[in-house]
Amino acid sequence: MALLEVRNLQTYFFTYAGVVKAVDGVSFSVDRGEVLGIVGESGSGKSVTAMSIMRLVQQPGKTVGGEIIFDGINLLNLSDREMNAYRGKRIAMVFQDPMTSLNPTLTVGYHMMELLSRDPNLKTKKDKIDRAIELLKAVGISEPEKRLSQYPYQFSGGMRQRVMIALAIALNPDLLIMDEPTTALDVTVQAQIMELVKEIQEKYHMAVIFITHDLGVIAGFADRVMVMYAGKKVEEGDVYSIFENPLHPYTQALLSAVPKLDMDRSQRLYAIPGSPPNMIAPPPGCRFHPRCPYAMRICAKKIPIAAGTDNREVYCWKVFKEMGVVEGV
Amino acid sequence: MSKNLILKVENLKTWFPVTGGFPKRVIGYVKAVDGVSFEVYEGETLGIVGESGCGKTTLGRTIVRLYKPTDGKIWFKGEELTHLSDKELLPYRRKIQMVFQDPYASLNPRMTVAEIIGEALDIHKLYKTREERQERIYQLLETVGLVREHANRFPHEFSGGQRQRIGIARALAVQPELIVLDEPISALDVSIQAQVVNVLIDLQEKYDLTYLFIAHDLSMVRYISDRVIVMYLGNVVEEAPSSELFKKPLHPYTEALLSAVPIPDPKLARQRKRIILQGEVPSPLNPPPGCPFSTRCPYAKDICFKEKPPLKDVGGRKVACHFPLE
Repeated sequence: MALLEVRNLQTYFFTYAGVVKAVDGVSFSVDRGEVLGIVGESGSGKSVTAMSIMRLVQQPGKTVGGEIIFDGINLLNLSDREMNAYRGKRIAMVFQDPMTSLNPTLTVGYHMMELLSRDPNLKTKKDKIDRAIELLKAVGISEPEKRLSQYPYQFSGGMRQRVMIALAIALNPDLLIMDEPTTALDVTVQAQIMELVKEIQEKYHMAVIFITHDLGVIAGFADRVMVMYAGKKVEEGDVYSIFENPLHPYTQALLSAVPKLDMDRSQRLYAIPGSPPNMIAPPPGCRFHPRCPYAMRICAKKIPIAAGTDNREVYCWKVFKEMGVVEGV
Repeated sequence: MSKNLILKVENLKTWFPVTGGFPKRVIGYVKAVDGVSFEVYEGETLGIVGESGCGKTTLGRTIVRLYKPTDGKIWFKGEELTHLSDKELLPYRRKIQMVFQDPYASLNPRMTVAEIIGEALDIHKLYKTREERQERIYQLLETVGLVREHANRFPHEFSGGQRQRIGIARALAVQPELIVLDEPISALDVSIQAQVVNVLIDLQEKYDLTYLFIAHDLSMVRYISDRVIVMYLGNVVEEAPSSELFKKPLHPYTEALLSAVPIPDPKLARQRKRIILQGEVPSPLNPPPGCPFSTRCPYAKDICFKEKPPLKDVGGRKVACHFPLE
């Protein structure tokens, strides 16, 4: 059985202007020890998906439908108190912006001690401090003893993200959700952090959901990739087939919008026409159809159903016509 | 490509004073740009890459004279600009334009698109009648892929990509020869980046523009630039034609930077050997005494910590390193 199974997740935001269906019927699963990459542009619903799993969606947002089955239990049915026992301990999250996700008025040590006080194996204060030092060492922070008494502003962006990762792995969670953990960082620091995340994932055999807008970041790390567009899953498959043989026109477009290593200016980049849809009134049928070069009449009328083969799921009428429906989805 | 020199920068320094203490006094300088020299030829695109804090944006802003250089010289088509007063500089401001990074912050939210673009025309008095002005604004909007109906709207009514097009139209309004593009696409979504890049390439071909393309996205820089300079801590560490630089970097920093670029190909990404740099960029307030990269360089030897290597010619390219890579 999969560690996490999300079924038909619907998270809507009830704004004055109308209902924004940020995540609209998304299903996927993550196995133990597996790395799932979620790729999409801003507004595709990838972060809201992560927040929904953690049950951190705030007003005016609400998860209005679906199931989030984690280790056999539907998280959506838990009380707030019960859910709190899952956060950090079973499911942990690293947020995008390391500058704002630590409390600037508390020391890094305080952040760590607060979390470690939930670990029943650490009885004395000394145990906790030792464990905190061990964790900071594990994420590559030098002089951890000194660093514990420092405040977040004394850390650089990359170092703060390391602290966030140390906090996330402190209680040995089964699932780690990372929401664009390297987007705010420079490329060389991004490479450092990715190396660290890979090492930790392999060492603790953790399941990871890695959210990004950068296809390049995910290529070297994920086992499976799910591509989202305007609140819906458009394609899912193992990382090699997604990159070598993208089937959904949106995935194809995304991959050809970034320059390849052997390209020069005589070859133009493929620019997806138009812009992402207004989520209050998304286009009917397939949400990508107004920007799709292959759009047919049915695309504007009916929401596509899953097509493809057993390890591949594509929501596109064109692929449906060519490959037929997936069994069991 | 013609080989006419359009811009020459020599030993340019832009330092920002840091004040502190009591009574308040200058206690140091942030050496954002610390002795940069390069040349740009007509019709080419020079890419400037580096990580945040390397001084690439300050360099761009100094060239358009949004900052006054601390030292050094800037020549535009043979005319030395650094000593000119603001008034004397005005005709050159028309020739050198800039497109800014953040399309949300660089357009005045209280002005309509027509006012934003028209302002540049007003300042340089580039029209005779009101009709001519209006016609020119419409024409500029169409040039960057917008429509004339957009002229009376406000910036908030546009998406990021469209705003960046407005920024480009504003720069084009005065018929510049050189445009400094400061991270023009990094705030945009991937699918929109390609749209804007294609517009930039089309315009360059149509109007024979010269670009200074400042960015941290190396794959885009490689694609768009003829030549590239790599900056680190206010210094140029390497300069080379784009294809050569990416094939065979000579400076250890360039090598590390290139190996850190994510490749959207799972097989290549897993096979390649990455050079993971240790530590972080030193503070530009207190740069290392020798080579600026010495503190993180995996190959650093004694001399690197003592003596700053000059930018030397090596077979048609330039590198500032005591021990360039073979």
